[in-house]
Amino acid sequence: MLSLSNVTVSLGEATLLDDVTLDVASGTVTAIVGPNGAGKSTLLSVLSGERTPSIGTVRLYGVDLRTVAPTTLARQRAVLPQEALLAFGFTGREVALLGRTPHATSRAEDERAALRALDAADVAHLAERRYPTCSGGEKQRLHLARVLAQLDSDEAAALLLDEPTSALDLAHQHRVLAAARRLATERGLAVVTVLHDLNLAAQYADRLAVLDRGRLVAEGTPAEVIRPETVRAVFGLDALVLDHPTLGCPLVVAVPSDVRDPLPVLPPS
Amino acid sequence: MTRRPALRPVLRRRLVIGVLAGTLAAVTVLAAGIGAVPIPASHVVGILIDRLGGSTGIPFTDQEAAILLHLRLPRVVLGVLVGAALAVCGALLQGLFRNPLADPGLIGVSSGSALAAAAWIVFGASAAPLWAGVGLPLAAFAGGLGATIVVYRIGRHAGRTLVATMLLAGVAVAALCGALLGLLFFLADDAALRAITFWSLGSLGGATWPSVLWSAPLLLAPVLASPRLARGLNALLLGEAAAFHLGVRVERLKRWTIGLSALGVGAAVAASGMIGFVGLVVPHLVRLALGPDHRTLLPASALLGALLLVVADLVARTIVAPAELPIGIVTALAGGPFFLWLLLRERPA
Repeated sequence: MLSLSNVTVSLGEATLLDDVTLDVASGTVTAIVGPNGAGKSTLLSVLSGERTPSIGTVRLYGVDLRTVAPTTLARQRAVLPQEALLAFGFTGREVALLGRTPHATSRAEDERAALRALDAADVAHLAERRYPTCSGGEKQRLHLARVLAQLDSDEAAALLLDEPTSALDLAHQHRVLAAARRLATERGLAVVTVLHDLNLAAQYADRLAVLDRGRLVAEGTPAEVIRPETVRAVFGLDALVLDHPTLGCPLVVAVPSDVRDPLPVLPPS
Repeated sequence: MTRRPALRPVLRRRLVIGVLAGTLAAVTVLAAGIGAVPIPASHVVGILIDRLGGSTGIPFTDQEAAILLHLRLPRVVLGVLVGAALAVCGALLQGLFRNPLADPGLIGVSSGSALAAAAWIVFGASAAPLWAGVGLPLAAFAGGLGATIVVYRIGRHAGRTLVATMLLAGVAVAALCGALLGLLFFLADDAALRAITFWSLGSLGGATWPSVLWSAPLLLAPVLASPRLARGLNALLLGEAAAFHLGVRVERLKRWTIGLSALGVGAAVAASGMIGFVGLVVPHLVRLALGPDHRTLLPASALLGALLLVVADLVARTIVAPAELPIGIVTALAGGPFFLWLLLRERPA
């Protein structure tokens, strides 16, 4: 569905991505994990067509992204950014309506899609609120609604999320990822999300891709990829990998060496 | 849950645009009638319909018709065109720079125009007396376009237009033009100084049918073409990457926005000198009333800009009659305090 073959991205002397090959099947969620500066956001921008690889190709439905018109591409894939700049006083409904930009549907149809999206993103109550007056988490969910409105068509094929949980509280982190999960399971979209939290990745992703210094160092199911030795090699962190008590996926508990010594227990005063 | 019916914003937009258009038509007719020789509004309508080949039976004198058609009407029409163009270009550039405080001057148009116009007044007018009538507007237009091209070229890098770099280049070019303008002041004689000063304060007093006709296409270009950019500009408010993700051809959008603004502002300055605050305040006002959606903002700004400039010109030519106040003084005197009030009001609590 969405695939990278031998993609290298160079910027001057620096190599941001080094010969990455990755295939994201429709109906699956792939999480991209790795330390800061590993190239996760670069990988996402290449997948979105925003950045053209120096070497290699990116394909959606087997078609080279370089040959797809921006409007066509925008009807097939949406991107939820880490943080979006928007200083202007759009209402929540108007933010969702921005997602209809690439669609040539009627205004009434766009309005209906926007309302459905606001409902699905759990922000129907923000429909008439001005965007700048919303909290960081509300803004992020309005952008989720915008992305859902953009994908509200038969052409929709892929959703890319860049660190979608950074501005959200715990419950909403799960809601956003559950919404992405549903788009994969129910609508057959190929979903790719950059995540920092390995446990969220383990819970919601079918596949994990581990990036380190621009190279794809591990790829597979959460159980295959999340191992103490991988976590140590990539993140430089000692960790225990347990079985999640209810979900069956791996559960990572960091045990940094410098705080491993148990804290002295103070006697009750 | 309080949810408005989906059609209500559309109705509101149509209503506001309808009211603005109606008010503009009424004010234009009234303004055309006010002056040293008053012409009743009914006569204005009668004369217009008569000239368009119709007949209303409204009596009017030949003197009224002559004054309306040769003096008042070109001036009012130029006011409508310049006001609409300045307001639309302001809205376009505020969208491009994602900054509601952006002003048409930011891409160098105004400063380039001013420098070239002053250079023409100091050197050109005596060197090429045959060009007396067209030289000044032509110089102003060319100067504005030239400065914008410089700013745009500096902002281009590796096939992309770096908007932030353009913004800074605009500031630098404006400062440079200001310095050169100061040098011209130093070189100019008293008559030229006075001419430069009055030109830089703006006036619609030079309006004639030929000047209206040559500037009309340039002034109308941004007004008529900008609605096609509206959806792209809406998406651009999310940033360039997000706009691309929504299918917008960002580079093409930026080129069109800059090009149309340079044409519109350049032609406005050429036709009427420097008229400040319309391009800044009008889109701001419309946003306050109707929100930032460019599909509404652009046409509503055009109408409100036209309306405000016709009224400002009416004040400029009647308040100290038989003399005339430069219109730039009127717009700045009204716009400055108003803008300060807006800033105070929008200050975070």
